[in-house]
Amino acid sequence: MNFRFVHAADLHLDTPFSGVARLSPEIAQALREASLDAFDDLVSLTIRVDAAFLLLAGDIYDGEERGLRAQLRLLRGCRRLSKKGIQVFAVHGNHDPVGGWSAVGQWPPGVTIFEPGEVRQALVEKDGQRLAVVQGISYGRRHETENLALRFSRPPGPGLQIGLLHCHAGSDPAHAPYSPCRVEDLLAAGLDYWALGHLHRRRLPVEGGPWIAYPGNLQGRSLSPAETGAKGALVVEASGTAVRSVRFEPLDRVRFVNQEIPIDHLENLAGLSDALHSSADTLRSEHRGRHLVLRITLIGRGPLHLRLGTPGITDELLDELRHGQHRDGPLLWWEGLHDRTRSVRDLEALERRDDFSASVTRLHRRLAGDPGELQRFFQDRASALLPGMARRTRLPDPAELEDLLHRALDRALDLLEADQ
Amino acid sequence: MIIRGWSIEGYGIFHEEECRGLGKGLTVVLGPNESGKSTLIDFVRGVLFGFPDRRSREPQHLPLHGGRHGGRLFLETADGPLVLAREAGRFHPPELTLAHGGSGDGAELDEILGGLDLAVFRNVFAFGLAELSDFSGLGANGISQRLLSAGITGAGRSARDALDSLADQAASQLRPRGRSVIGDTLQQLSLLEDRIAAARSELATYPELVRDEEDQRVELERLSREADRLRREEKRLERLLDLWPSWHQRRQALQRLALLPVPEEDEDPRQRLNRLADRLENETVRDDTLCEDAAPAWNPPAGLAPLLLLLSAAAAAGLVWRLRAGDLPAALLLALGAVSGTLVSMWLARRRFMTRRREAEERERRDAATMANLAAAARDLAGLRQTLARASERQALEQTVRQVDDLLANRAGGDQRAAAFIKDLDSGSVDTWDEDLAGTRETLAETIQLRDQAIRATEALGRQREAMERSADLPALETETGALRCRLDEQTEEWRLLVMARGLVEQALQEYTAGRQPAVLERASRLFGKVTGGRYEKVVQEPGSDDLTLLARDGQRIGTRELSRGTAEQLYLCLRLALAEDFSERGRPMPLLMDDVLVNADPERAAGLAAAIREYAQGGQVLLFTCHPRTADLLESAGGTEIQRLANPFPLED
Repeated sequence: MNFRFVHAADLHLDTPFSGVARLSPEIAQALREASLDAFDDLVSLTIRVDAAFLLLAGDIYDGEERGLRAQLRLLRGCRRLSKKGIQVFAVHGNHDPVGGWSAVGQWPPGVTIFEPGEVRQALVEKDGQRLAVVQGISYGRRHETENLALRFSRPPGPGLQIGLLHCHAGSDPAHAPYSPCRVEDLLAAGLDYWALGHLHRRRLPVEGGPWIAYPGNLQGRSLSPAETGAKGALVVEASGTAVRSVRFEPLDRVRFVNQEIPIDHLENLAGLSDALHSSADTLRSEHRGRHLVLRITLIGRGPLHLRLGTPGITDELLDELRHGQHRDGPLLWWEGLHDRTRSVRDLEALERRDDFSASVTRLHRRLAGDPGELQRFFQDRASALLPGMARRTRLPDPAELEDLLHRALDRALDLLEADQ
Repeated sequence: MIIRGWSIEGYGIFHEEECRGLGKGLTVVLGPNESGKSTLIDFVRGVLFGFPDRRSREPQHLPLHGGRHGGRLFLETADGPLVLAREAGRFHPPELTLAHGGSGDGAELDEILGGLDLAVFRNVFAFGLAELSDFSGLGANGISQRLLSAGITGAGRSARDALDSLADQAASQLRPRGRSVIGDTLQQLSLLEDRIAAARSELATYPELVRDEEDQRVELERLSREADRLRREEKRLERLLDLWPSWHQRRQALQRLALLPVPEEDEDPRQRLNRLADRLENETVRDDTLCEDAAPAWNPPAGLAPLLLLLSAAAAAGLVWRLRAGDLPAALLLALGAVSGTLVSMWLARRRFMTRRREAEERERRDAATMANLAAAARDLAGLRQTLARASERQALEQTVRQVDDLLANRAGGDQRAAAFIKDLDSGSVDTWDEDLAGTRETLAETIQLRDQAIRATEALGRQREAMERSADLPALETETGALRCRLDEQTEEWRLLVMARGLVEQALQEYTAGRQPAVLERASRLFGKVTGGRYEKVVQEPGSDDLTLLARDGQRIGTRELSRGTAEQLYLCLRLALAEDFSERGRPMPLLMDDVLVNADPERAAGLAAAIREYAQGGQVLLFTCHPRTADLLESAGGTEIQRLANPFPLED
């Protein structure tokens, strides 16, 4: 029998957004509702495509304390699905392990929240015929270090065999190893479809039967790489015990975009402003219908570098960009404008000059070639000066430190050579 | 490298101008004001390092008299003579014609220039009047800074200016005390974090709130039930008190009924009454005939007796009718009427009979029998009357009982409840009920008050819970915190960038001071000693000091802040010359271009400066541009190296 289901994960309902430096009231409002609205859209999608059931693979809530609004919205969505006879299967992940308080007294019929402790099964039947067997297990604590995938196995009997789990499959250094497991462990269970959650970047580690799928999170939360771009859920078409296709359906309300703009060929600020506007137009049509949070990083080497070094210039540019915003339609929020341009200076030639600037440049070269000395150089000068600062800021890693050093050289030379 | 000459095609006022044959040592280029000295210096610089861009603020010196914009320099290096040609405009690369006939481009030129660029050339090898005249505008500290940096980079913005600027920027970003960008952000963050902690602990009370609300609701229901129960009790007591008089009446009626004799059931009173009625009818009919026969002797109204008889007959007939209808009391009444009417009419008839003697005697016997019959009937009637009276009383008593029972049934509800109620009525006492009613009413009032309080409390808790459900304070606050943290990251990065930049300049300065400065100061000491006629022996920078110190011949140590302006100018020039010498020695020697540096000096100082320049020129090429023949004389008189005078390299304007 042909049927379809929807697989979503990492809803982080009513999630706080991080890493967005400045917000206008309009975009703050859009962000505030984004994760909840995206969830409503997920429910609507599930109903619209006439799915047999919906899978939620953990991190439904963002924290152990769980948002109250989040819980009530989830309950409302489940009621809508329940009324349509669509089953919901959910597990808890590291962000919302079982044990957090619950505002939900009674789940509507057809909702299965898998418990921690052991893998349980739930059946999906239609017209007396078994469509699927969903197995799942929740996290009982935040740091679930057990390889929970090993607890799954294929039960006898008909129906598509689905594993529902929040886990970290394979090695992805961007994520802490929550219920770490190897892809081989997942394959060994002999299931037809692994509905996983945890990784916010959408990916299909194994395709074509069996399937292992991470839908990514439902709504991006910041400008970090895993959170940018389109976000949504997977619509899975199945036939008997085979998955026929897995299709991505974007559901995010606000999209985070990092955009690099090279300045190499730009002559002046007017040219830069034009480049930014045309880039914005391209992004608008690329992400039609969604609010955009846009962070611009200016890169490359060119005459504009020195101009951009003027204190306050990027803020002025940002103000101008935000001011020129048209009001109707989805918002485009210029979150920030980061200057990572380099000077056009030829450092080798500079060193040959043998003057003071050459000495500064030589010192820079020496530090860049000696990470240990660079680290000491940095620590001697840039240790936190105020209470609470060290706790709230992160030290740069070696690569960031080297980048900082390059930019510091530019900054120093911009001043030393200012008159020339 | 030395400059042997130039050939200008078109540059400012110059057109097709050529000069050759320059050599090492000092060359004084004499020309009047406005004759183009600075233009010529710009030309030399331009051919060597490139003409300024069109967008530059530097003078372009477009050819005023035609010719291609640019020209050639005739140079000589250790490898032999060469020609460097350059045309203004960014698409024209330099053209280098080498001694052996080969040609070259930028790379070879770079080699020849020893890696020097325009910036260093300007700072080290080009020296103008402006720098010295600047001194008048500087304070003691400014001069001291200028002197210090003269030994480092030369003119232009000093490393110390850069350090100060970076330090200022870094401090506005972050400083240990007082306001700063990062300090403000940290403060805002800390406030927000407090608010979040508060919001979080408030939210944690939600389940408790839900429980409280549920408890309160249960209590409310209990109180409502209790109030209902009390209200029912109140009603019951009120009803008891209300019905008590009727109940009392019923009880008495029952007692009375118990005392009444049970009626004999051997003969139906109706039969007795029928019989009596029949008898009376017979007697009445017979009497009628009698009355017609015998008229009364005295004279009662003649129609009275028949009228009475008629009435009696009617009554008797009514009696029969009523008896048939079973209406005993009415029959009784009618019987009474018939009997008494007959009696009276008989009495009248008898009177008539008495008067009618004749008939009277004859009928006496019959009358006596009739009379006896009637007397028996009267007795019967009396008995009947008593029976009927008792029956009537019983009937009334039974009705009372029935009415009270009906009332009870109506007012006390269903059978069971009525039974219980009747039991209560039967066993209770009015006084107890009165007391109970008062107590119940009091408790009811208290309960209602408690219930109302519970309603208000439940509603308040509900509102609180709903407000909490609606509120999304926590995520909003957390997003705001995220934004602040992100800003803090940016600000911290900017601060780190500034302190790193400052660190680079600072450390390079230390290294530079330790490595390069001693040699420069050594040379400067020698030059300055000569210029001052041996008054000062040494120029040093003492460790940790940001000033130069002069060691005088008499052993005094003098800081540059204490120098006269003239002496400071001399020292500056010596430092500049020492720096140029140092550069020349370390890389490839370059010609030193000076523009009227002696013009403002007083004669004594000018002589000292001239001596310093002559001293320097012994080691390299100096082109000194001046509009004062006096300067040329002065330099000449300073002795030392040969002086070439370039009397009139400038085109005369006509």
